[in-house]
Amino acid sequence: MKKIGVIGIGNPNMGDDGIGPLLIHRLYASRLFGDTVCFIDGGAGGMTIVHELAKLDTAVIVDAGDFGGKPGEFRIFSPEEIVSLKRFSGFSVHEWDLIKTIEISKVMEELPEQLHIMAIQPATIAWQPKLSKILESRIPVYEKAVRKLLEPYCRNIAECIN
Amino acid sequence: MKRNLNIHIEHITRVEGHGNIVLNVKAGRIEKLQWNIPEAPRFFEAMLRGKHFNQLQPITSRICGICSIGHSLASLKATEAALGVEISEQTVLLRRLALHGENMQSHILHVGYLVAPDLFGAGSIMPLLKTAHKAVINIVKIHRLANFMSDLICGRTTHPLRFCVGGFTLLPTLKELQTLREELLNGKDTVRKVAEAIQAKVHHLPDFFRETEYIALTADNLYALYDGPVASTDTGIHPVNDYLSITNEYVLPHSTAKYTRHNRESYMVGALARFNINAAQLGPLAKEIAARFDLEPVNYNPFMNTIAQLVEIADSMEDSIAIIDELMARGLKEEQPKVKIRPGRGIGAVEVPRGILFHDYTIDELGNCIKANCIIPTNQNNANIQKDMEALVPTIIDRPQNEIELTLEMLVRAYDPCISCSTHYLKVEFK
Repeated sequence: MKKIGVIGIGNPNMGDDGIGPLLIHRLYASRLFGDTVCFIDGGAGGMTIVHELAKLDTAVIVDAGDFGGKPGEFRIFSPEEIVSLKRFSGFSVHEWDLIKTIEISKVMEELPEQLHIMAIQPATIAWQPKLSKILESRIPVYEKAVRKLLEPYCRNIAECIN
Repeated sequence: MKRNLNIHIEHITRVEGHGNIVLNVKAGRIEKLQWNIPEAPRFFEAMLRGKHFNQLQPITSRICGICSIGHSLASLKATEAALGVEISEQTVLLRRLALHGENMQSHILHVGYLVAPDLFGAGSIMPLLKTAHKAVINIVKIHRLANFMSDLICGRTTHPLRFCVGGFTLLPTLKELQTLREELLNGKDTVRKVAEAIQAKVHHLPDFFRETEYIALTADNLYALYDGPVASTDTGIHPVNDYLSITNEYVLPHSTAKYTRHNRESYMVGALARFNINAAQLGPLAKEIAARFDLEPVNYNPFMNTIAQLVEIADSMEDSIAIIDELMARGLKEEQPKVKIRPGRGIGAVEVPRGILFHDYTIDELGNCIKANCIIPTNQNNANIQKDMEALVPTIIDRPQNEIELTLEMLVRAYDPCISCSTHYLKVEFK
């Protein structure tokens, strides 16, 4: 059986950076997917994500991402479609770049067959244990987008979308 | 050459937490040389006051995201000592297994992700994906195995869920242990390959020696991690309960972290200290790795701490296999921890990846903690880092500034400091 997973990355104590984990907890709690999809709280990311990706055939990664969009806007893309602009100083293992993680997965020959990244443009990245109003109001939109992404891989999921 | 230098590395990279190095040289004379910890206090000991004994382990686990198993075990040992709780042989074996998982996890992270870039002449592990991708694959494999092991025994990779005072809330199955055993057997070959890759670059580690005191737990028949009295290369064996006379904490104006000293101005804890004291108790694979690097006790080169960590990864794998064999031969039994509340004081010491860790709790007649003291390894190494820098700088002072900076950073990284963990900060009183 193919393994399908949604990984939410981010720190819920850093405002909109926490959108990934928040979203996967909500989707998991909805129980719409039964045991078909696993939901993984990837926390601050880092090397742990390499180990999680290795277990999956299809993965959706949800993360806050600055792609120059309007706050709250989201984009879905594959790793090949983008270039990371994040500066990587090697300061510590807590500082990491998702795209680098994906590069390591590739070298390990463990990248899921299908990999989608959903980046949500943050409004506020700062010490606060809640999302900005704009992202908070758009949570149903993001949930629907993830469900739609999973549709081709999960049977009987169409009714979940609307 | 009578040179001037003004080096201020703020903050040093590839360590856990924030530490600075300051070096001022005027006309060839060192005016200031400081290993400086600027992090803010975290007040964990204060948090423990008034908490029920069952809450002490989950709280202190959060001191560190790397050594959460070690902090948990030191906490449980202190609590059990205070309450007079006896634990079973099975619990000891499973706790030792958990500690091995953490040791491997932390060491491979340090050797592979934090130090290897220095040896391969890179700023981080990322360029190594192109230049040394096989080594990176093997490093990631060991990291994954260690995570798997921690998940299996503790319920999750970081911050154990299955530990409790007196035992475990959930045991792994024999089938899971068998799977882990197979993974560990495969891992032995992987650690050999990592050692081979590091060996090819080990000449980049500075040839620097400074005699110091080494302190670690010790045991007769085991490479001590979970239990044993305290041993010093200078003064011999001491009971764990005498830990305050070993650590002798003191404060310095430039550091928010405390320093310690014992028989000399400084001492070292960690993998090299353990190796220097307990090398005879290592298993065959660990001895094979040590021989590959000509590492023999007593080795006074702090940069070799990284190699001692590699040796310990091999030993943790081998000893874990032996523990699993013993558990499988005995069979796993559900146990009900027997805990009765009584007032008392208990001290727990374990070896965590960066060295010896002490937790000391006093518990009242209601089972609440009324006093706590935690002394973590990085604080015990601070004075030794400073003394090493003072001995090292005069030998490299004529080199280009960037080389001096890199060598000093490498020295600090060799200690694998976990500055964020440094729970024991200044005690102050406002007027």
